[in-house]
Amino acid sequence: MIQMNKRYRLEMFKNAIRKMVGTTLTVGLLISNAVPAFAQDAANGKNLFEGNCTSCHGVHEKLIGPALSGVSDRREEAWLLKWINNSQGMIKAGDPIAVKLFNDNGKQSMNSFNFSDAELKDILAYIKEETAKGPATASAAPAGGEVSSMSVANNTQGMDNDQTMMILGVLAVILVLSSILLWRINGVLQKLIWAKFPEKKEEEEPSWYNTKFIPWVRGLNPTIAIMVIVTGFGLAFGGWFFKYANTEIGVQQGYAPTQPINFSHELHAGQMKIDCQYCHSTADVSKQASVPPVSTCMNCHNFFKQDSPEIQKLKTAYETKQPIKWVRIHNLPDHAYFNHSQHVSVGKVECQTCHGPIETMAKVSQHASLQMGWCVNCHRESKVDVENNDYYEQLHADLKERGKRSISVAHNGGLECGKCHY
Amino acid sequence: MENKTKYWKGIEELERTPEFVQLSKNEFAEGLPLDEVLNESDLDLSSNRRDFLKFFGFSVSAVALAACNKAPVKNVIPYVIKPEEVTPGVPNYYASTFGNIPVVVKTREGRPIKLEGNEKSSLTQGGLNAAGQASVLSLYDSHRLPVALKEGKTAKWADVDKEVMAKLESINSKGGQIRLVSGQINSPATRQIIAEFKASYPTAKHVVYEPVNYDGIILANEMSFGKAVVPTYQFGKADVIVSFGADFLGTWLNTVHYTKEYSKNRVPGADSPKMSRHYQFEANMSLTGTNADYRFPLRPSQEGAALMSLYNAIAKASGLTQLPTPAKLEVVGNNIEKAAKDLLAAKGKSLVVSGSNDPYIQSLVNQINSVLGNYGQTIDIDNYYYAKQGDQSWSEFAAEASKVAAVIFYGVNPVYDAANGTALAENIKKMELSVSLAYYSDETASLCQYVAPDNHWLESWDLTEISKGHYGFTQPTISPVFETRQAQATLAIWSKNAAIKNNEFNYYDYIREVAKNTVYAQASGFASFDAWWNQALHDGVYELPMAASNAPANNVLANDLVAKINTKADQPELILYTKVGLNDGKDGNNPWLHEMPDPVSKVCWDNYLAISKYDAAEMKLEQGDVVNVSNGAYTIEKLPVMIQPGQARMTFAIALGFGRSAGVKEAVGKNAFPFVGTSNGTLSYTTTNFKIEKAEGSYELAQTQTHHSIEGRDIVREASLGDYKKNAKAANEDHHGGLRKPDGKMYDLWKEFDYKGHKWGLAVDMNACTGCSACVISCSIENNVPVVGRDEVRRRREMHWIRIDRYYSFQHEGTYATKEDEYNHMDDHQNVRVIHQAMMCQHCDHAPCETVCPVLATTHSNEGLNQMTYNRCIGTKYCANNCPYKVRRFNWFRYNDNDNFNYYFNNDLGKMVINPDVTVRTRGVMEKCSMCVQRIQAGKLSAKLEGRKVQDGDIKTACQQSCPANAIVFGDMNDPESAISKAFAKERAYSVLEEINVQPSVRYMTKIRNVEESIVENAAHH
Repeated sequence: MIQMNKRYRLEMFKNAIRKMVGTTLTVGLLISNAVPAFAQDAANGKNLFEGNCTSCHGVHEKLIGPALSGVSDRREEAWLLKWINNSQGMIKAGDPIAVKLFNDNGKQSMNSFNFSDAELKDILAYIKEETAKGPATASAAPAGGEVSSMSVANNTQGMDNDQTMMILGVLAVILVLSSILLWRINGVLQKLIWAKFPEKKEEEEPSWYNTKFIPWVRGLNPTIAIMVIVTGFGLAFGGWFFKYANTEIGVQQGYAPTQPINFSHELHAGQMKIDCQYCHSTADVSKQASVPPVSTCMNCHNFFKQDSPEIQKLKTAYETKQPIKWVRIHNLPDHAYFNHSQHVSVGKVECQTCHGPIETMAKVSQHASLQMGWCVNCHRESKVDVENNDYYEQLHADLKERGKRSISVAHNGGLECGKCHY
Repeated sequence: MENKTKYWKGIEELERTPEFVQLSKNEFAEGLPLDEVLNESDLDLSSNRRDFLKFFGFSVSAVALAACNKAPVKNVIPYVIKPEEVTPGVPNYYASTFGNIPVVVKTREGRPIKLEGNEKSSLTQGGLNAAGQASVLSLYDSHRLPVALKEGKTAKWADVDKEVMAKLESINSKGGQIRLVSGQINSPATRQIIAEFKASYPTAKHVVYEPVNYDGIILANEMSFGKAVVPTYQFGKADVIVSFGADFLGTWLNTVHYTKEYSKNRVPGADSPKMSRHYQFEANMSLTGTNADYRFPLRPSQEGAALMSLYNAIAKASGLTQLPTPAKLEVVGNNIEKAAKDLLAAKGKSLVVSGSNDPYIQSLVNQINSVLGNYGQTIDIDNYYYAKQGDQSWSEFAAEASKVAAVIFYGVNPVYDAANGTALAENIKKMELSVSLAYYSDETASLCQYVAPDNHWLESWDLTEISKGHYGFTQPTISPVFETRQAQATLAIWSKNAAIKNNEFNYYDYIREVAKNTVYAQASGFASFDAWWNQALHDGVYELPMAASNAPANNVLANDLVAKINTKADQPELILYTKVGLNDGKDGNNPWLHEMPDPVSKVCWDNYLAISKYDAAEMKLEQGDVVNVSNGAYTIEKLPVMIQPGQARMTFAIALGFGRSAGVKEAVGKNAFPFVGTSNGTLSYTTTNFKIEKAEGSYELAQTQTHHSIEGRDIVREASLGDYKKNAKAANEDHHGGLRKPDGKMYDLWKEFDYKGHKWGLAVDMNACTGCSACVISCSIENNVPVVGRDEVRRRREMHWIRIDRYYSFQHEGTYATKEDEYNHMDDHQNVRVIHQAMMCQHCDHAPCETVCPVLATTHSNEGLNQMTYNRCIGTKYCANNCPYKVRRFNWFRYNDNDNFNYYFNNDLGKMVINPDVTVRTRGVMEKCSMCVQRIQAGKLSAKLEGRKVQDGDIKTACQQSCPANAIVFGDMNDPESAISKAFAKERAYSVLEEINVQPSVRYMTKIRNVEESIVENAAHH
């Protein structure tokens, strides 16, 4: 444990240094390279692209349709604008490029769209931008990298928030120290001046500092003064420490570690609209929602995106029968019992209520604090569905008798310690 | 109507020794260990303000440092390919068989964590004993043999196979003798494997050896009826049971079956106030003796004479010739005649059993049962039971061991548990080949050249014939944890079985084939073998139709037995008995079994010399003294003395199964097996060849006996069947105790609460409960209760959430002592009565513990549960101080991470048995029975998921589920139809300490004894 922590700390430190260097470099790059000026709005293009095109096209990899990297260089813009909105028509009309494309891509016809020219240009701008960036995954682990190397990478993940705070803190300390130093130098210089030119001292206007502040400080009760200072520092430090300790003991809201495989919920749950329980198949019957076995991924990835380096990792894991060591994001303490099926099947709570807009997260982060206050709050606000579950027959009858329509989880004993702690 | 009987828990309480009085005033056995902590010179207790500031400063920085432990990165590691039947977080259940008890194995994510009895078995009916409960832990025992050994060093299986086979072949071809020594084999498949082994090596012979066996009964039945079997006893059908030293509820034969049946006929209802009458004549106080209506001390050597008297009394009434009358037995008085009268009145519905291993005594018992017409009624010799038996082959082997060239030990450890173990050890060293198929590197295995470790039964396939036509199936619930191989496969490989492929033998296929030929061949109503197999494996048991039970003619003349039965009884006797749980010591490394208090003496972690108060005074021995017990050749040194009420005079008892020296973490207790002798051709567990000498020093036994003294309050209630017939509320009428308002209602500190939904309650029937302690182990497993070890038990820090309080009351000149000082006038504690009372958190509606908790760590749920919230608890122990039942347990140490408590909880392998649904408690918090809240929550959840109400019986607490006596009922008191509501409505139901009006959710049923005299004082009082 201690070993691990030491190593962990070291990694964190290295990471921090790496980040600092990285930040400097980025800033440097930003300054040296003029930001490429695209007339079109690539951001809008990105939205459109992701909303409409990604089910068949990637920028850098071939999916059902060809990879679109550098498409503006290959084709005339006018041709592209026409093609995207009405590819079928062009093929029928016998456009040679169109027919060749159709034949080269397994005679799969492309959907027709109804974009405005401006929108189409935005999309093309986005593709251009992505083309310029190059394949994003190239810097990740080499294709077909060993599974063991993935797991090593896990330990280097901490909470970014922390490191920023640390760097800021160090900077603040340096600032304070240099201020004190400057102030002292100033004072020494002043004294030297006075020593050399005593008349200067006479000329000096008696300052507020000398006439009021210093006598006031001298007149203070030293015990009280020290206590006030200590308390002040204590409060400041305590406040910071409380927040720090919170994260340390497992309150990890916002925790978004890098996973061994760059799995995107945004892509799978958001764009592909795969049902959460297709993968997290036990959420409705078990305590655990469960991370899917590799075989579940391979149900689709036996057919899709085989050459992506990320899928290569998956394939390697599958073939070598080495399980993937995902980093656990939601960590409830051992003394809290949580059961998914109770919430998913009985309470009919949406996944998003606790896990946040998971379908928009390319990298999952912990949405809720998972603190007890958060649990309890929901138990106070949520109603028990007494009408549609015969388990609550008696309760429902009692409520009717008392002229009530519903009861909150809290009023049904949902705030009792022993419901979660045993 | 007051109970006139005085109860006490131990000698100390009776004698009111100053130590006891002192201790009983202290809630906790010791003060805080401050002196130990602060014993350094600069940390003395007289610390001044500066020291305080120093400590304060230190603690603040310590907290800051401790808090710096960054929450480690946790991983989620899913399966690569998930097995279809596994749902993470949901347990799976598989039927299997532990020894002779069909069980259901609960597994979580592929790891067995709990055993329950299998309700599909008509014998054990869902019960499981303490040993069975605990055996799941031996799977995760870090002392297991993980690999094959050659000369004590790790060896490859392939090499071991090659070398052993080569040696076997060369020995066989030279005509050298090969012996395979095993225990009783009840598996037809294993029997076939052994037959094939013998066929491959014609010089091989099979030796059957059981250190604790029932050969006497088997031989007697062979003499009497020509059937060398142990019959099936139907204790439930018997209205009168007379047992001579047979501990049939604790250790004798199929205890789970007997307990199930026995307790059925021990619970009188208001509509049919009827129960069996149980006489017990025995020397050392056994679990069965504690449950008897009449218990009389009887030395083993007097048993023959007593049985003859019994036979004569019965013969006289039946017009048969009487035997030459033995001298009248003083100790038994006219009680034999009394028993005979009852037996005669219940002809055909009675049962006489004896624990003796002497075939002639057993033969006489058969005679008595024959005359009483019990065969075909309460004794079924046609559907016999497969008991543990040795045979003549063992004594032959022991005699010729020096001439044997090769020996293979399978499932036996004779170097430890045979009387001639030392001689055998020497011979093993000289043999050309010695192999052990042991599970641990035990005393025998550590002497063998090769050890080919066997699988745990939870990793094995097997087929067991439990009783005739009653098959139990064993299926693996986990892949072998280590590189072990099932012994049957090992033997098959060494026999060069035809089915071997790549040096692997598929025992599963073999078993299927055997099952097909032996069991399926007799089964009917199945479309195919596969259909039968799948059903049988699913159920875990398959029972062929029972054969008709007949009353066979008895071939033995009672007169012929007279000369052969010893009636000489003038010498002190040493009795060697086995303990509930540990039995013959095969599971000697199981900390759960060691920490389970003996149901009678409440001693854990040791065996001892049980001695009567009378003899102790004679020999000037006191509890805590140590003695040397010697038979000339062997001496047990420094054995602690334990004064046992109920122990017959001139008898001394030592438990077997202790003192293991190899293959265990530590030696616990002392080995008494060398005292086992032979008499009339069978092993004899009594001996007169011994000498007891007081030794230097003293020894404190770890006894839970007086830890939870209730100081003579009205805790247990008792009435005779006669009292009960007159008044179903006998001993249980309003006691008018407690503070009352003018209207007669009791004062109460708390407001009433209207429990709308569920209201959980537990009922314990003291008439059914035998005190067997299976619930204690079951509870420990279910709730992750740590083992604390001998020293901590001595400090009264045992952690069991459920304990079984054992109260003695004693008889003097026909009346039961009522006042404390009466005790001092008695020199005889032979005649005692015992009551067992399971005590756990009573989940009081008006719980005193809840009021005093300063941090609201213990609160009440709207379902009536007293909840303990560990993460809130700061360890003030106020609740324990304020609990009238003394059921709260304080966690003094972090048992799961402390090398001073190096039991299973502290190593990675042992931790596998932890129930993931229950928090592992940390140091400094209070804990107690939660009424298995995790099971309640799970039961409610599955009802909710299925959209239905919770059915009565859906939820079972761990103690209830394992109880072989069906003594515990759990359920919803708000459901008027539930079993618990019906139990609470019984006239016998009462709550302990009802005068303080804490309104417990646990109620007890008054103990009814089937004795003639009245137990409640002044029955006409009301």
